[in-house]
Amino acid sequence: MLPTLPASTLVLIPVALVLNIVLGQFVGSTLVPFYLDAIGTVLIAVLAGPAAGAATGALSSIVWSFFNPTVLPFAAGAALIGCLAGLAARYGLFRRFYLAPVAGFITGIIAGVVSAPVAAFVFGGTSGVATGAIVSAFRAMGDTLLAAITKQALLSDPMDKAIVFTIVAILVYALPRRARLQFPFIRRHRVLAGTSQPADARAHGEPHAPAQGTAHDSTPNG
Amino acid sequence: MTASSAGRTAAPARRERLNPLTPLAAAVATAAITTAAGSWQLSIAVVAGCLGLSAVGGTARRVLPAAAAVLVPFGLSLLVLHGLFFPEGRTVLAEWGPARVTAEGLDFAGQRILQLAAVVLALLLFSFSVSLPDLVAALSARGVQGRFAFVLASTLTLLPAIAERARRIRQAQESRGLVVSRNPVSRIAAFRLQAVPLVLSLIEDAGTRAAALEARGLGNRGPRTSYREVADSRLQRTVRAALLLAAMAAVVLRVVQPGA
Repeated sequence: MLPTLPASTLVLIPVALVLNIVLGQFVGSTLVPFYLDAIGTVLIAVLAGPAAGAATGALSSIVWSFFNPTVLPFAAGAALIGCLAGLAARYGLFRRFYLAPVAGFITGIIAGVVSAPVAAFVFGGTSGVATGAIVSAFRAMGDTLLAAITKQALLSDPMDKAIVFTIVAILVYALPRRARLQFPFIRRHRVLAGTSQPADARAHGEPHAPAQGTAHDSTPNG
Repeated sequence: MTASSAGRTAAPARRERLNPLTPLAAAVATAAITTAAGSWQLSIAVVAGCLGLSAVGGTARRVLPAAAAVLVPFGLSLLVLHGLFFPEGRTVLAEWGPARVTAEGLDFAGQRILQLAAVVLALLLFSFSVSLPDLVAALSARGVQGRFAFVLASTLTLLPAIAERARRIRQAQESRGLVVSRNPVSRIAAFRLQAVPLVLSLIEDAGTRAAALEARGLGNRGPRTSYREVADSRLQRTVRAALLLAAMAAVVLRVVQPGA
């Protein structure tokens, strides 16, 4: 997957990883039962497509595990989130602002089902105090650990991803046109409202090849 | 891989002769085996071993805070979860309404916390003691593309720079009159005012970097040579293979015998 990405996408992956951490810390606090640690991954998926999203999700977990090894087992889940976010963008779910949280909600359901067994078998619980409290509530009702964690994931993950997708939609629509249109994925699949006509890109003198577009913007001595 | 290393590695320290993939394999195998085994004794032994190694290697002052930052919230969560609510528990020690402190629950929580501590310490010990350039060189030599190495190294160097930039953007917005109150709408507006300039400047930077990397032939195909030579030996290769096999065996055993 990684070898096929163009350099213009590759350089975004480290940025996404750092955004996952920095923005996640900004928004998240220990008292909300959400993670909000996928903002960068979903942003890259929307800008550069499902393959870039999946690579970002997996690498994000691997690199972040250098500081917090507990995220490592969730690498596959993170890749899935990136891939699904990219597919949502590819099929136009970011063109209408209200569809982004819906896409996030569905992604969250799938992500929750995938990550719950990992949390149950590898850790025997969840990393946060708030998510732990929800699991405790289900355990108090007599659920098995796996069932309790799955229910907690189905409560937290869809909301979490709906919020993340909404934040990403706010961010991409707030970006200036020139920044958005430098991504061939956005131009080719009409990912965002108002980026429809290919003639539009030509009118701005942007060539079709991905690397050239960015190289044109910033000559090495710039 | 063609350059002679005679001049550069006149007196290599012992740690430098270790291929970085060997401690990586050791850390991963330790983590997998400890998780799969799920035994008090092994977890305590691994924790003690890691603490000892980090003290000897001089990384204790960085490993311990990082480990605590991960383990304290996770441990509290597990303790509350299993200590108070463990429907499978029979030996009730105390009871408040729906919450029951059971011996089995405390035992389970303690075991999981120790297991987690062992895994976290083993992996952090590796990540804080490895020389990143050596790891990158070792990965490139093993056929892992320079691209992965770039992503890894770039993230680790970008993290402090971007955190600093986020701080400067917040200061700039505050000097323009940004006040964050408890009101959620104002919080969202404040988030937007800080996140948009940050993301925009990062995307601009990434474009510049892509052009620079492209100009240096990142996208070119064909074999690469490395300026940096990483030591390796038949013994280390054998040890790595054995460690990974043992880790896989432990996981398979655990899956085959769920009751174990």
